[in-house]
Amino acid sequence: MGAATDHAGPVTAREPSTLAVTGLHKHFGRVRANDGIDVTFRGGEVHALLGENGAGKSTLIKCLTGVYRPDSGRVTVDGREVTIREPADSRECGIAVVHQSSTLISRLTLLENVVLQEGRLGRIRSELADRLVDSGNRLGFAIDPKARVENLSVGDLQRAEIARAFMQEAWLVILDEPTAVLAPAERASLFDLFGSLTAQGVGVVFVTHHLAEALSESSRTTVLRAGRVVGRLESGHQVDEQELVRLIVGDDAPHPSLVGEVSGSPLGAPDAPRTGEGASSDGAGIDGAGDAGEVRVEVRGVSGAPLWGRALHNVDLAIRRGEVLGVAGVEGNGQRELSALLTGSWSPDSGSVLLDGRPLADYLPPERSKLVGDVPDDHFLATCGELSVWENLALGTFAWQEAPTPGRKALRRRSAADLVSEFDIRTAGVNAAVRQLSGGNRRRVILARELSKHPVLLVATYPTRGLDVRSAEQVRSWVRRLADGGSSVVYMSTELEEIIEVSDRVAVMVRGRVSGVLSEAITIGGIGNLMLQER
Amino acid sequence: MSAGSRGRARVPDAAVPVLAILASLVVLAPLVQIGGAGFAEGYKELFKASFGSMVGVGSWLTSSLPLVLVGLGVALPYRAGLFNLGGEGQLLTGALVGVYIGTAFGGGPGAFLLPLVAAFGSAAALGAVAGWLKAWGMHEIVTTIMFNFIAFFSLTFLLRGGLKDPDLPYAASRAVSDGFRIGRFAGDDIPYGIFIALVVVAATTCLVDYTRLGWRLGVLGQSDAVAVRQGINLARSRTVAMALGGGLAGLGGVVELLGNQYRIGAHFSPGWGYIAFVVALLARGKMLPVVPFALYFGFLQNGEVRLQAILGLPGNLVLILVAAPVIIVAAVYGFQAYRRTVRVGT
Repeated sequence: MGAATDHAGPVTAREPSTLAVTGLHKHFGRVRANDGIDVTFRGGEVHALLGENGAGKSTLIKCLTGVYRPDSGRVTVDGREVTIREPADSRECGIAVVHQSSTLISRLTLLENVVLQEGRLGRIRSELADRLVDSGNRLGFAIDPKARVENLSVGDLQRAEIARAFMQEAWLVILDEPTAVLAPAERASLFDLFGSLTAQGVGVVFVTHHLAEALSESSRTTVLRAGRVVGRLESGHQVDEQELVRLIVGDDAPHPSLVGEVSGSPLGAPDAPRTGEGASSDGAGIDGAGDAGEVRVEVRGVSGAPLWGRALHNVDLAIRRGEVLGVAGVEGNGQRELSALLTGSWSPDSGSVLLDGRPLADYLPPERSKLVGDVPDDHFLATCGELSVWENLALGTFAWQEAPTPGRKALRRRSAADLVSEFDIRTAGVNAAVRQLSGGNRRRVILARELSKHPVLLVATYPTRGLDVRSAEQVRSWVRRLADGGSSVVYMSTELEEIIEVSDRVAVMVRGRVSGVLSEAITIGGIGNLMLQER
Repeated sequence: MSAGSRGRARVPDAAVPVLAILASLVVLAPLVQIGGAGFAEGYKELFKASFGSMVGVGSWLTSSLPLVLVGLGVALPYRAGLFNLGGEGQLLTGALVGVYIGTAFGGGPGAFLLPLVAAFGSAAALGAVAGWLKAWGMHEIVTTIMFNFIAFFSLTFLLRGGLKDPDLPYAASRAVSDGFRIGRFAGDDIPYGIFIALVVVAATTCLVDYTRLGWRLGVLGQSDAVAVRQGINLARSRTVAMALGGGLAGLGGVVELLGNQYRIGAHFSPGWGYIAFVVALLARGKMLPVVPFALYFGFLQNGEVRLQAILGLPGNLVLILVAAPVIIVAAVYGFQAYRRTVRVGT
């Protein structure tokens, strides 16, 4: 690597290499995360890995980057067999990975992080700084090595990590769900960056749930399902999207919503308020914004900040019976605080939350746990990894509602099996520890628990985050059904189409304030206007 | 692929402490040899101390009783994610309260229950303070250890004054009245205290495994964040857990006082509070396993004197048998946790 600094001027395109994986197996207990995967990644092209949650995408990447050791299978680079035991081996093969959440240390600068990873502290920093800047330039963006990581946006971090990989002469950059954390504009610039990388001979592999994204941005797409490769596509070929959807989800029923997303969401069109299947049962009253049902939950003049979060300013909201109130806004504008507020895990300095006219703070924990359903944004707030699936499903019940006597435990363990099948939780069994489940399935455990108690108020904070399209669709229909059954729902999301689809009314949060509530003709444009408002 | 790739057979978690104890016995063997006695002979004497006679069995159970009760007093907070290192101070507090009551009154049938309750209450108060202080950012390990010092030096201070029995040439309290003593049966060998221990074990097991409170403490021990989100009050639950733990340890002190020593002196406890921590650790915070591990360490303690008296070995050798399993268990659990993070990742 020392020779890199001797290159003068623009470097010629790298020798395209090939990484071939054959017969890769990786099992966790009875779960076959990777069940004989064959795939080839080439330098100079963009390759999308497509699949649902738990299809084995992340496992494959972790095997290639030395996080897991595969049970069996061969990995070759340019025909030469390699053994990847740890991350350093993977780097040596020229593979770099950009994880969904940045692995850079937030209190250090970019340069310090690079020095740290290079592992040679004797190296002259300025030389590394120059190389980092140079890598950025060659890929078409500016990079400030002295910037502190904590001050950078997610997009900046991704670019910095890509530049670092490029600087380290990686010929294959693997990105794990890079677009899940990006704003639309940043997505576009990331895809531009893919172009610069491939022009330099670097291969890009990116993991995604989004069909449209995979098809438009990659020259090759590999579809995984249940640990196997179920489809391979090359750009230029005519793609039957219905067919592709079937490949991904693996059953024969067509999923109109999925296909809808591919062909440009009709929900995003102006003057197309939600026409959800669930609403019909409630009649036309809901959009009429007056007589849809009595107000059951009221937030009155709440101001203040929890120790861990930002401040809310004078927040007023009302949620009616049978209504889904969407909360839109860029993440970090007070949604987590609102969710803590509504679930009673944080009491504000001033103002109050009323549930059926009575302050939420006056409810005893057993009542609150019965009446309020809580689906937090992070599953670490709602599930205990060391406890089993059934114990997590019974968590609140046994904490407050009924004593966990041996008989009741046996009963709950049995009924957990029903929830597992009803909510389609992929697990080795109800006795499996939750930490063995994938993120999406952990979220299903939470949803199963909170929805099955039929709460008066459900607070769903980014409930579909990280879920594949089909799961997300399921979640929305569950939530909708709950509301149609008479619950009040607060549904937070950063995806506007999703918000519009599921909500009866939409509140927009900006900097800890509610900048407006839309109740009729909810459109992306309308929400966008409110998002831009600053008081 | 099928069954073949399920990975190598893993030692079940529950077996690790038992294997560690066996390993520690192997570790001790050469040391006994170096100490000048054959190790087979050493283990034989150790065994004979507890199982050689009915008297031996009685003294074995007597030395195990405080370990069972204090062990529960450590294991219960451990479930809630708290380290109660204050067993020593809590048991001294319990015993001290027992002495004051037991020497002040004459007692009578069933009178022993009064010091039992009082000891539980006072030691629970001590534990509760430590639990409550945690809400203010003071770690329970630090506070409970400090309370040990306070309890111990309060005891030695009191022994200089009114607590000391003037008729004794050494510093110890007067003996508790006969009416408060917990006797023995089966030829005056087996302490009635074992029934108290059985009741307490059953009660704590029910509390921890079959009540809502126990469930909440378990959730708290798994994750603070989840507990908060479930509406569990951290400060209150920790105070309760430490209070119960302290109370149980206090019971250990008073049962020993009323059933065995009858007086309290500076050497009342040979470090039960600390050995009980080992017991709870090996029991992995579960209630029932506390019993066999307490019995094992009681067995070691009971044999210690005999090793010294008959074989002329330093009694401290036995402490190796106390310490070695902890290190082995800690290493194994640490290694398993490490492998888990490596394998599971996110």
